[in-house]
Amino acid sequence: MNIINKLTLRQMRLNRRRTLVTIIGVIISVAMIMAVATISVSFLELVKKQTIAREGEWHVTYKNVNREQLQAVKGDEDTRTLILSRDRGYALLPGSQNEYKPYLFIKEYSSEAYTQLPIELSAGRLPQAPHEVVLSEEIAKNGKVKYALGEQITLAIGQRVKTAGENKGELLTQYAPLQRYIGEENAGEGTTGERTTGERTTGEENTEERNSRERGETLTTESTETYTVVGYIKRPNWEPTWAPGYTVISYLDESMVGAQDNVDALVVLKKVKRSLYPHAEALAQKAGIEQYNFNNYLLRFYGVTADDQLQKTLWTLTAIMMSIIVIGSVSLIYNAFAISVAERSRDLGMLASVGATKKQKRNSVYFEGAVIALVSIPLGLLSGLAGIGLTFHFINPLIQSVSGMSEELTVVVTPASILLACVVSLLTIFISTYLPARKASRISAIEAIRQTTEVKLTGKTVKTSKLIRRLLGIEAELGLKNLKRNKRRYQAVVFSLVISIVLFLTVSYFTASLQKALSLSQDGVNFDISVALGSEDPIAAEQYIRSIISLADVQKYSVVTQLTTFTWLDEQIIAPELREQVKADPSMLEKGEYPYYLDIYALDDESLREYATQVGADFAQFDQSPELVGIVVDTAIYEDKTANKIVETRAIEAEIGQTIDLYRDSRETYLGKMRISALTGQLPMGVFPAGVGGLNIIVSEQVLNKLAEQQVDTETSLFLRTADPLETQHQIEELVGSDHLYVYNVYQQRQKEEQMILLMSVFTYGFIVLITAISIANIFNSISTSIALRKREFAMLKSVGMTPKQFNKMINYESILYGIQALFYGLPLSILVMHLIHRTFQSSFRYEFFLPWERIGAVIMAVFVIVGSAMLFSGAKVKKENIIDALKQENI
Amino acid sequence: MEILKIEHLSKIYGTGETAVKALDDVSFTVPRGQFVAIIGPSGSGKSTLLHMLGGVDRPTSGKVFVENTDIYALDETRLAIFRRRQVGLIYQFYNLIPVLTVAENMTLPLLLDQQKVDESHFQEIVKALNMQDRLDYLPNQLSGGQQQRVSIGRALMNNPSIMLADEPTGNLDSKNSKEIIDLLKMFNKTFHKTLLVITHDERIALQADRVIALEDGRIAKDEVIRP
Repeated sequence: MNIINKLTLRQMRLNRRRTLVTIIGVIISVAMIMAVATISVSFLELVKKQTIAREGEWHVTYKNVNREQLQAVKGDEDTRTLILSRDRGYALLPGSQNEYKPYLFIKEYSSEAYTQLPIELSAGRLPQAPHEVVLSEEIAKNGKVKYALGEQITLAIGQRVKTAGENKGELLTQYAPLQRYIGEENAGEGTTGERTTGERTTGEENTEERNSRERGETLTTESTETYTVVGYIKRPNWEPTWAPGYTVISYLDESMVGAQDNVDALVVLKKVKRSLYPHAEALAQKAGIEQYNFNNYLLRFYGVTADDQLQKTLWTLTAIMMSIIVIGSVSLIYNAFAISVAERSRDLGMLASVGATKKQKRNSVYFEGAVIALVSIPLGLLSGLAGIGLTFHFINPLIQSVSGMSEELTVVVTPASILLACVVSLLTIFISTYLPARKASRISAIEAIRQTTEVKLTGKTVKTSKLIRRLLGIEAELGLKNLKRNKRRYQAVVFSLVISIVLFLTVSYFTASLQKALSLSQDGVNFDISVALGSEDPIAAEQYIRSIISLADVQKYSVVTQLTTFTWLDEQIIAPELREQVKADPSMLEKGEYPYYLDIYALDDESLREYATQVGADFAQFDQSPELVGIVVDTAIYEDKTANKIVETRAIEAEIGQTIDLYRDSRETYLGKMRISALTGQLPMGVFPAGVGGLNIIVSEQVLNKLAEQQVDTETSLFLRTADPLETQHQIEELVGSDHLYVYNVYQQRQKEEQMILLMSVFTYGFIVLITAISIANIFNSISTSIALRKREFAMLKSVGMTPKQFNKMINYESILYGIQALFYGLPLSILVMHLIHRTFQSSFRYEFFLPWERIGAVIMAVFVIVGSAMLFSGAKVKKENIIDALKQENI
Repeated sequence: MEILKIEHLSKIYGTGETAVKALDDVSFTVPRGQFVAIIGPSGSGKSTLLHMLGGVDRPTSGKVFVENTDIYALDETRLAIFRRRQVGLIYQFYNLIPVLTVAENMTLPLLLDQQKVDESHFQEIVKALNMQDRLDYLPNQLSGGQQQRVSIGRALMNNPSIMLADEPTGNLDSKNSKEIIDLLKMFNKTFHKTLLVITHDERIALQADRVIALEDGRIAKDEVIRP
């Protein structure tokens, strides 16, 4: 190795502490870069796995291929696995207890489907021969039709055809729910209707036929098959919840594809590359396959689809994070090398005097950079992976809970991610060493030996105000001047501190805001579970309500039935905002009246009584009067987009005793007069505020029924407060099928949101801690060097008679000044960013701006602790030094 | 009238095999107002002796009395104050604080002592040193000779009993050297400052009142040439 490099190595070894601190700093930054890259890649992999788990793994589908074309697809070199699929059709499920699901839907799959698609066997076995089937569990659970294992069933299979309305005659798929045909003409009559099969005679009908006639669809018969039930499967993900047919899967293999038959061929490719698109196109063209499509939903995770939003967003975020890390790291590494060059200036000068060229001197710095890189990068990569692996291990349960995913995050290492991390790290080191290297190349022999470049000062540079000396003493003045003399190094330290301060405060403010927003959005949501009971069957709903409210954990409940009617209100009593609009545009009025929608909510008697008491209304009038009475909620909330906030206003400017005319949907469908028995701003449990142009009216169930009788649709919901929301939800779901009722677990949602915030905090705080670690390394390096370089000066001060106490004072002032400067820039900047964050939140939530005082206090303390300890640590070494040794010594 | 008394001063650097005896049982006294030149080859212990006298380095054994005070019996703080008030130290180079102006450098001991600067005294010294025009300059804006003059000024500002100078002209050309020595002599005679100067320069040594020659840590010769 050449002498210059040898010298560099020796210097590095001599300055062990600084070299070590630099290496640690670089390791941290490399680890962070690696971590960011790994998170992105692992996250993509997770979503890909999740998609495969939920939707199945296949890449290209060739539709309606005949036997010959099938062979072409099968023989294609890129095909790894071939799944055959055919939809046989629908058959009536005799005895189905779910009136929305009267069918069985028969699909045929080849055996490969069971490995590639999300079909989960729950009992028995999979079909292995023709005429063997597995049935969806829901047939027994939901449809309440039980078929035993081994039982034979005969099905008349056909297609669903639309018989009325638009697109009459169209074939219906599983995505089309059972067609209802609401029309007065066919209700409850026994006349003949249209039929598409000519097998029955007119006159007598059975229930099923009448049902199918009342529906907007009918079932054709194409074939009859007898199947043996060999197993049950869990309801497949692809079956929509509203699908009218329960899934039945039968056997399929190549031999069953006759010369004239058509099947769908799903191809799982050997390798997913961009070329798969043109390749499939070519294959289809050659084989004469007209229809084919791609599973882009899955393929995008392989990076082969063009213009994928998810990937774009992910990589943008990654780039941003890496940039932040790089900036923080550059300041550290630059500083470290600047110091190294300053210390070695004498050596470099001597080398120059014996004939080293500019290039050689410059390269000595790059050499030091290379050595540090060699040590730090591998260690950094490893620790980054290890750190992320550990983090994943701990947050996986959280992620699964928040996202509902079944798959786990695993550490994915790709050559690309490692390469990326290496390249970025090397780039960082190179950028940081560029300037110091240039400076080193310029060091001339004389300058180095004279050592005058260390301090190129002018009076102005180190000018300080007289006040300082008077107030704080010469020690403080010396401290301040010391900081001013090496502006760049000083600025680098302050910069590091400011970055850490701003990052910490703004991110913690952001998470605090999220939490505040979360709590605000929960305002008014004073229930744990809501159950939407639908609008169809009031008797069944009543039963459900009864059974649910008697569950063990239910603490409080409220039954709310809602219907919507319309009215036209006189210009004088509508909301002020509307009045203004109407002044500008009188055409909005009809006969001097503005149309309003009225959401009428009926509470169960007990809840109504409580509510009435709360708002000061008289519950008795609901009982007594035969007329329609209601408590009108006269506040409405809307979002003023121009003023950018949420505003509360009067919904209606009426008085108690006034009446409102109710209409069902048009002026022709008059329902009655409603008397306003009370006006209030409070809403009962489960009722959300109306918007401008609407009104909420709270009535009793009796009043509502009077309106409902007149052909108005109602929706019933049950709101619960329970001791154990999760358990109660399970119990409810067991009580009812999953079809009529929609159970919304607010508590769970809230939990999810809180966990989401927790998850975010883990990452953001982890990130901040690491960036701060880099900053601390930087600060430590800078301060300890600036002190080490001044050993002689300190010795001289001591020789002139500075006491140890005065010396301490001087050092303390320096650290205090660092801290004050950093806070002077950092705090206002943080507050500015916090304000911006607040403004962003204000678009959705309205609350006062709050300064996180404890956090600010913590930051202030931390800054002084960091700077102070760096100085103390370095100062201690210097203090103990013998004055003479110091004066005689070089800067080692 | 003894301002300085050294008793059996010894200083050993290092330990064991690498131990170096810089001073070996040195004893002498100095009367007030004397100009002493200390000469000797390099490694003879001259600087070590001076540092012992200035309270800047602790002896391995022996005592140093300044104005009858055993300075090494004092604690760190008092020793520092002692240095501040009783001793004026001038080194060969790197004497000044780079961030302080000439004026500030000169008054540094006073500033540390939080004492007010006696303006007339200050002006006197400044005039004597011929530094009136450069009071606001920073050290890096001065030549070597000017820097040394400032050092001397600092050494004088707090009116010390003793001035110790370690090769004060080592860095200077002959003209400057003469000037510095003349200044030192002037202060010695006019203000009755006791002056101990380490030097290589024979010419300077011959201008002193007394010459002490050191060799291998011991006094080889002690001659008063001007009584």
